[in-house]
Amino acid sequence: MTASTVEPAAARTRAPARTVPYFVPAVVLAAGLVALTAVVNPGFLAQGGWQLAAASALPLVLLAMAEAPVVMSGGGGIDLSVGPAAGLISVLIGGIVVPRGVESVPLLVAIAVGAGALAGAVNGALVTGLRVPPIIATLGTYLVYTGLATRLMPTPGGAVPPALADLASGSAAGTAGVLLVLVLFAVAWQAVLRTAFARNLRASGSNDRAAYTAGVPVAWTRFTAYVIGGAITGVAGLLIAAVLGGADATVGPSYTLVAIAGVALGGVSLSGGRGGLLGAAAGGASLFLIQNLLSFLQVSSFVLQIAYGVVLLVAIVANGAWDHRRAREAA
Amino acid sequence: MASLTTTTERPVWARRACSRLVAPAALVHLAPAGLLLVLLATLPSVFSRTGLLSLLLLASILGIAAIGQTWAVLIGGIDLSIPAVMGMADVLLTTRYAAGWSPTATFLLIAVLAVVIGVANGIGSSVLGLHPLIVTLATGAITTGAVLQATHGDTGGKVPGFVTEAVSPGGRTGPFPVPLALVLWVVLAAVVVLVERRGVLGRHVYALGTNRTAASLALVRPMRTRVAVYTVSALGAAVAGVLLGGFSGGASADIGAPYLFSTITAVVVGGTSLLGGRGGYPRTISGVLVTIEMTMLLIGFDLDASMQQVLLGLLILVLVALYGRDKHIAQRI
Repeated sequence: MTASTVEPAAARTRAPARTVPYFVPAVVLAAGLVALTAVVNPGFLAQGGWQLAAASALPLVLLAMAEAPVVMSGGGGIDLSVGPAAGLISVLIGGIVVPRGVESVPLLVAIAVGAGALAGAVNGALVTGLRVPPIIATLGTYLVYTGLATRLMPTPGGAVPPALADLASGSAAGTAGVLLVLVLFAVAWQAVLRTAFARNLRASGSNDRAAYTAGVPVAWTRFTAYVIGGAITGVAGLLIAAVLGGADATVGPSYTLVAIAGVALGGVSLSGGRGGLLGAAAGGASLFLIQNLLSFLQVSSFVLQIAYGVVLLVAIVANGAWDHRRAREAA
Repeated sequence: MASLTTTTERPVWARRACSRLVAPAALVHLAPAGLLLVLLATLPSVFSRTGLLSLLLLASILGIAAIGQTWAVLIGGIDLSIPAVMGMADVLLTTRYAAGWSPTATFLLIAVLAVVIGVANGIGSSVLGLHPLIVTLATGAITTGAVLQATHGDTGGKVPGFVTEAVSPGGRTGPFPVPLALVLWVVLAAVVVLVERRGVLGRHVYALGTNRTAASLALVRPMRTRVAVYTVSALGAAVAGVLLGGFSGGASADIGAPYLFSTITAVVVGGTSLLGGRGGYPRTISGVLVTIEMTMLLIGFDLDASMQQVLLGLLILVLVALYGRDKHIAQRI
């Protein structure tokens, strides 16, 4: 192959193009924002500000991660219902299960993950079984979950066990818990990446027709992606309850668009195929850090919205340019 | 090979139903009439001049806002900046009017800003192949933020009398006892359908939505078409925002928020494919009527807001499952 191909001298001497992982810009952005926050606000590192920030960022980070497998599965895959589903689960935990006397944390985690996986399975069944377009299927469940949450709990209230409330308090034990959640997700995702499912997910997302022809169970892969996303949404719902110290049916829906923005910011391709949980988490964390930084600087919430839009645009332009560069180097 | 044999063994009607990408038009256009009968049977109070005109006025606002959403979906995109543009138009209308501007100057300013947003969406979704979902989400956030910053969050003001008149069931258009908003919707709908069916832009929209690469080879310029589509979308949203201001009598930057999903619902319930290239505004008109009738029906049943939301979600799922399903992947190879 190499012997018979005649190549221009310049191309031959150039080092082979190295592929840079998709998540690098998002991770760099998140790290830069952490550094910037530390410079602007010395209390962030010294007085335990970061522990509190990490706890309050966690629901958004998890929801961006929950969105990632669904978006990666392609076919216009998107989950608009992540916010309301997490809200409904926080209502279920903080407003119903805990006030009835269930305080065991492992049991609560199991309930939250189970309910989240069930919500994801409903979305997945609508999208892959009934073949309703993902945006409209999850818009339908968005409305259903939002309505159910308000119905179950018209006014904020409820409670969470001390062990959960401690997660969001910024204490040493709580921070350890937050980090433990992230480490568990990292380990679990690494394990998933070693399975055939990860390969099928990328194949279905890149070119579903080619994948189907090659024998990849596209529908099953997409269904599984929704269930995985749902399980992560369940954990996010549990943490929303922890951060609020109870439940509020109105907070869930507002997370949806931010989670999708986080996924895009994290370098996950919205047309599927490329991405992962690390990028999505970094994207979600970046959005939280921007908000955190601007509110520390006491910038009005109106400017915050402008800044949010501008960062989103700049970041996806950067991601797009990155793609172009890679495509040219690969060609 | 085995799958091919099973396909041929299926009855003719089943194969026909599967071979369609979008719902049969007749079904889509019968749905609003059927739902109207249900509405009249359950809520006789709707069957009055005021009741029917209120229904049509709400439909006019949603219908005008959904023009751009239809075209954005037809080219394989989506426009999430519609609520922000509606909010901008509404806030500018009331605050400028209160500040003593003439309506003409106010409308001109709103139109110019809408064009700027539309052009930004069109260019943004073309450069580097960015996803329109994110581009329009970002321009929407910037627009809402900028409106609130410019008005310092004080969005109060007054709505000009003729705008209120245009969206009240008792309003008149010249000598005719029909409110102006309704006439405006009919005229705009006629123009939009004409452009879709006969216009060069319409042809380019369908070409781009069906196959981007083929469209480029056929000398359709993707960026120019996208700019035109998103500009039309922003202008439609601006008109809808002004009308909504008249309807609600007040102003706020997030007045358009419900229209984020209701425009998409109207387009999809009408049977326009989210994959692009199939469907059109006539379907959206039926989708708009169905959406408004469903909402009125649920409100009329005296359900609380949360149950309305649950049932609306289920109804959308049922309707789309009936006629808006995607093809199986094996049939798209």
